[in-house]
Amino acid sequence: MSIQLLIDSILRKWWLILILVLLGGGAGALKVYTADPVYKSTVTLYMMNIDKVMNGEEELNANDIALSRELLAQFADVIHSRSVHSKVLSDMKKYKLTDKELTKTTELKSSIDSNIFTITATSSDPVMAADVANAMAETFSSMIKKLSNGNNVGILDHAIVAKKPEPRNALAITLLGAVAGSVLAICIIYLIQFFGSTVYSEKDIVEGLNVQVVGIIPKYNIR
Amino acid sequence: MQNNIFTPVSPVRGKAGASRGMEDMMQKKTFEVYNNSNRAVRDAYSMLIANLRVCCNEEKELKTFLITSSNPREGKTSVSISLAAAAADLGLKILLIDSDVRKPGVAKRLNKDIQYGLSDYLSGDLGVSSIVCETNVENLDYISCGNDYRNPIGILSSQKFEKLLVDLRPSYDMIFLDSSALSSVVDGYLIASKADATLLVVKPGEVSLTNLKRVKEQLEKFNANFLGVVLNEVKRRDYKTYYGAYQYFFDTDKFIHNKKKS
Repeated sequence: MSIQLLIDSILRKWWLILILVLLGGGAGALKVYTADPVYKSTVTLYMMNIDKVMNGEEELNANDIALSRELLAQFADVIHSRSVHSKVLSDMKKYKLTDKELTKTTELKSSIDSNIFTITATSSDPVMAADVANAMAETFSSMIKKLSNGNNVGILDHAIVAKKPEPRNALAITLLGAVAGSVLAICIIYLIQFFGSTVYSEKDIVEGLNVQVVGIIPKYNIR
Repeated sequence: MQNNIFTPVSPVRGKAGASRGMEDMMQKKTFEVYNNSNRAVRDAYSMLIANLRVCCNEEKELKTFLITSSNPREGKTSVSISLAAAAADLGLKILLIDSDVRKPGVAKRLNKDIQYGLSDYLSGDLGVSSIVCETNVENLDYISCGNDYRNPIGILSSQKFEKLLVDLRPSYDMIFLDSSALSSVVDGYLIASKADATLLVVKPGEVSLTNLKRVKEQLEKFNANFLGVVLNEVKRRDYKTYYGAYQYFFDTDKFIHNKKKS
């Protein structure tokens, strides 16, 4: 179907587009403003064998750092292992979290080639977010220490209770809703045009009916 | 065109002219539809008439035109009246027959003053002259649908109707018949089989192609001469695609008026 026909039918049904855009934008805005605020707390940890340095005897060499980095890369998944989770859940019993929730709301992030990494926890309760992050960090680091039999990981910054919730991206989500609405409208219009066979112009009649158009009378309000 | 208002006047024998009391009301009512001071509309009808005059059969000249539509309320009555009036303005002798005999004449806006019409003639003993009305438009005569709505199919398929059309042919340059919608009843098709040509009035956006195709097939079954389609009430935006610069419709009166001022 030609582009011109599509554009024409879109212009004709502009009201449908308007309605769906408003509905989409409204739905987006509604979702944003009725959602609970989300608080995020972060614990910063380092992965490095500090025993050597702490003893005051040796300096770090490139191998040590490389080892630590490897350690991090290999053992990062430990954070969502059952041993870590079950310990955290029992510590955080007062919050009554489930295993799935924990997986969903906590995350370990590290930049490539860095020995510093973060563990974050999100929740609608800022205090819970901080507590969970801290608990996860503690449990994780003790688990890593046990596995690697060394003092390879430590906490740099503890999590603090967030004062402000995460930004909501209100505008972006509303616009997204509006765009989705317009896309839906255009799809509907296309389908209507494709399957419907209403006659709109001389061309429709000449092509569809194979008769000539002998007269075209304008609506009386044309000047 | 000075006098745009179309009001039929019935010269019933024995009565001293029909009552003109309703004329003022009628004038007000019809003004909007037949407002031919709108240049675009006027020229559109002139073009339509030109097309009709050009579409001649080799065997016989096309004189009787049926004006109908697929669905009701697509404007066929307005088109037939405006068309008849425009053609009369050109100097042609025109007869307009309202052949929608299903509705009693008095119910229709045009026939408030008319005593006898087509159905009365076809089912009774009246003479032709008692149903043909003159109108206030020069060169235009009118036959109303009449009041006898009991047997529309019978009278429309009768020999008398055919004979009527044949008898009226020599007196007029063009005869227009306005009928019922084709999708509602079969009346239109009956007349189509008797007329020289059939015009289908289509209002864009109102009817589907499948509907029109069905109508066309039916017309062919009735041996009608489906001359073509008249697109009615085309919106300004669409009209522009046909006649691009309609600012071309030069307003003579305004021009002269302005000239006089300066």
